[in-house]
Amino acid sequence: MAVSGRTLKRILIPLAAVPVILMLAYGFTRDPRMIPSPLVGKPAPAFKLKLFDGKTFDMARAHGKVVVVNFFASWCLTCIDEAPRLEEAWNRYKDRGVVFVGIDYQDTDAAGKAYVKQYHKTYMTGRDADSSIALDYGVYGVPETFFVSREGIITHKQIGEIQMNALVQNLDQLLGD
Amino acid sequence: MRRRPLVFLLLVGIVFLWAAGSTAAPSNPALEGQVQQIARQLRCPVCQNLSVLDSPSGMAAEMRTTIREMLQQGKTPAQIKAFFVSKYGEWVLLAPPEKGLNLVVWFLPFVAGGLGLLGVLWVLGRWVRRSKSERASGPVDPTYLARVQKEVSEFDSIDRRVESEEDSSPEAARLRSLNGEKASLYEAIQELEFDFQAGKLSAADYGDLRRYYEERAARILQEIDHTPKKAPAASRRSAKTKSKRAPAQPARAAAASGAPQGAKMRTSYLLVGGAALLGFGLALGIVLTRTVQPRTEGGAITGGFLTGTPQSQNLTPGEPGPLVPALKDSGSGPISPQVLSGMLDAARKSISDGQYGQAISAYEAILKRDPKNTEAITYMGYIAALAGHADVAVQAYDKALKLDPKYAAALYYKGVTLEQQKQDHRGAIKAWEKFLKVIPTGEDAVRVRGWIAQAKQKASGSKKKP
Repeated sequence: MAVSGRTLKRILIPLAAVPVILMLAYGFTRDPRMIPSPLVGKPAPAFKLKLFDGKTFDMARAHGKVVVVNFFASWCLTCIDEAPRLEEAWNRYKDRGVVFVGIDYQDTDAAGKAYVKQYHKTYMTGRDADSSIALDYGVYGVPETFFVSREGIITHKQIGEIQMNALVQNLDQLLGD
Repeated sequence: MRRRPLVFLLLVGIVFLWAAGSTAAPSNPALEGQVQQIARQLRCPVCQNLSVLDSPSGMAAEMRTTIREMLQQGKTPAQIKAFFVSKYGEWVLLAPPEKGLNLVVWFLPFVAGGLGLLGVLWVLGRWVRRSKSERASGPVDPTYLARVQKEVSEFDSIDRRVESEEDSSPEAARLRSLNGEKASLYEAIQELEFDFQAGKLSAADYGDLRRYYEERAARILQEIDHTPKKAPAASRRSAKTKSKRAPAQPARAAAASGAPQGAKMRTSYLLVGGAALLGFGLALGIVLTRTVQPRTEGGAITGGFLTGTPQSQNLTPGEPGPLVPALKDSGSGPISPQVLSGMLDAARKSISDGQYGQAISAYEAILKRDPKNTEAITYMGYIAALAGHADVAVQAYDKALKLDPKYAAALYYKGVTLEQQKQDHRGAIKAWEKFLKVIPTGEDAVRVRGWIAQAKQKASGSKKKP
């Protein structure tokens, strides 16, 4: 059957809108806040952190252990929300070859120490005075939590508040449970 | 109290001026120029689409320092940008690199602009050709002009609906287009007539416009007559039988002969269009109802359904996921008095620092866990009052006082809001007097007594006025 130019026009004009609608529909399936980190799957950057108790934590020497690196700040309310969960997870996993490090970001020494005391943090904590560790880890804001395997590879980055099930799931996976 | 935001703004201004002043006098202008050039191309990770150069955040300052240090170490701008990309991904670049799929972003606007320009040129060319052909065809044949005037008086706009599309030859298509144009012009003349009769047009305008439309219609009639007609046999037969009845309307007769087929096709178009619209509406309705929901803290902007965010990552209170049978998530359940006191401290500090957005988030977080927290309710009201929403504020204070009629802060601020924002002196005096029963001594009590005295004066003053 021959198709007239007019009929063709009637079909083609609405058809031209289809790719635009599809593109918009695809756009709706994307979360603009979800920016994939290029660090996942790569070796965790090495750093030395001066801890609040005066000691120093060396990431390079944590090789062979599962490491949880949590960036927090005393002024961050979401960090207050997740603080008990991190402490609970630390108490549960500390005897299984897991290291927790809390890195105080964009904060003062006094406020960081007061926060650690107030929320009863017993794992290693220290202040990233020049934000160089935060930059190395591509931190967007606090809280952010990184899971590092025994081989020193970043396996997961949690942007924002971390829930207990995410902590357990990632740690069990890294411990091979 | 009302001056607090002003003081905060002043302080922010001073800090900005200081920051601007400190960057305005670089020790090495060439190096600073390079730092600024690179910083301008990088996105500040903690801000909303500000460059590292423009952002006042501490993180951006650290990034500028890192850029400076890397330049001093002899790194090239490309290496520095690559370093930040390795940490944050290409997202950190304010302008996407010109390669791969990104090329679409760079070139699509030019392609779209070019196509738009071509479209405009084509339309303009058509107009020019048409007006030239109209001028070239010389004066209008008076016979056709007379025919137009006659047909306009008999024209019925319903005629437009009965065009056959059965014949797909170019001649038939041209005839259809001319008949459509003619009908539009007839309609325009009728509307012009109506407007003139209604007194909306001057006689001169009406005359000019009518002449213009009639001449155009006459030329079209002339063209219709000169276009070879190749109607199908059935149409020709039908036209013959009807030509005696309506000799002045050949187009109408010819069109009417193809009406059943044309009307059938139009009905099918309408049905298909209607079904498509209904389908689209249903799909949209289903998708929206499944995706649009109040956003949870930390939840995806577009909801879990579309983004595939697993529900287990955003547990609701008291619902530990299947992976944690032994541990209860402490996300939004009841919290210990220590944690609550810490959250309230942080919120109070946010208010005193003028960080009202942060304070609201804190109080919302507290109310999520403890909906009857009078302090949180009261200070949410206080922030609403600062934002100028006196009614909302008073409602919040009343809610807090319903829970605890002796809650001093709610009584205190209720009085302030009623007195200052609503000029309700009596209401303010009542609230403050209740406050004094709870807090009879101290600095606040002295202040409140002073305010009561002033409010009483104002109340008696306003009473004396007629």
